[in-house]
Amino acid sequence: MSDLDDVHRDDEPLARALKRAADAAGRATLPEPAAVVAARGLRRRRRNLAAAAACAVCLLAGSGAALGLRLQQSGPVPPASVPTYGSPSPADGSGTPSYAPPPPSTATPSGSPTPSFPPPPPPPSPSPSLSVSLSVTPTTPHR
Amino acid sequence: MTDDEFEEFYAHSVKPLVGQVYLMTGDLHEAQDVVQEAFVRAWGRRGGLDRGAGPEAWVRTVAWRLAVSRWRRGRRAAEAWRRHSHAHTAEAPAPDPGTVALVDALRGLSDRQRRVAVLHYVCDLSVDQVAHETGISAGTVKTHLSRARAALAPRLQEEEHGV
Repeated sequence: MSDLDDVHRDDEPLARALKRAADAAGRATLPEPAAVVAARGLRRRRRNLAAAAACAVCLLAGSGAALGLRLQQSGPVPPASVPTYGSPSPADGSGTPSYAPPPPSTATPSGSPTPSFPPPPPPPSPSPSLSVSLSVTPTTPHR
Repeated sequence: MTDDEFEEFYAHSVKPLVGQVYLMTGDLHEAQDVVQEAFVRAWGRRGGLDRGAGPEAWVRTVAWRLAVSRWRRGRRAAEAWRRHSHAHTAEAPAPDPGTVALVDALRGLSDRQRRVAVLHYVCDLSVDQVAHETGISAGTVKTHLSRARAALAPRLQEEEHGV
């Protein structure tokens, strides 16, 4: 307890000296009138409100523009694969084919390069009967 | 707090607060400036100033934070000047010749020690109140107070003996 008292006794001159210095500094200042401080506070509040309103407007405008762009981009989508038949301009990939491509069937459509008449007979080849007869005829009687 | 109450609070506490912040920062003009700015900010939220440790503690804390922020900004600017221009190699200006020895000794303390010493010895806050206002533990506050006392006591004896 005596140590604590000693500490407090030591602190008192220090506290007095510091308070004296603070009072001297406070007396040396010339503070602005309270009305000026209030006016500055009012201006500051208005500035903060204006900044907050501008931020809100920018945020709303930005989200509206982003939403508009997104809606504009969601139109007709080109097909994932380019159709092989029936497309008037398959290169650009726009539009859908007017009719479905014909199924790959065995029936030949008219105008196709496949001939409709039977093929001509093949040219005559040496008949096997002649060869046989030739091979048989050289029989001569032996006398 | 109404407008009239705020004006009364301002008239009553602006000079003591400037003195306290002056001892914390070591610069009277800077202290006056940050205290004014803190009062301007306090006017905007004068409805809730009575909560917590009171309006004076709120203004003092805001003024201290403003001073620290300005000090850091100034230090960064000085470092940038030193980096980009070799001609500006001058150090910080020396203390004014009219400054008392005690304030010189306060300038030799660290920011935290100075703030804790001013809050305890000038604002008459207890160790717990200082810890609450500064956001550090009570043990650290006691350590800072002890070191500040050890640094200031020789200067105090010089002042008392007229050396």
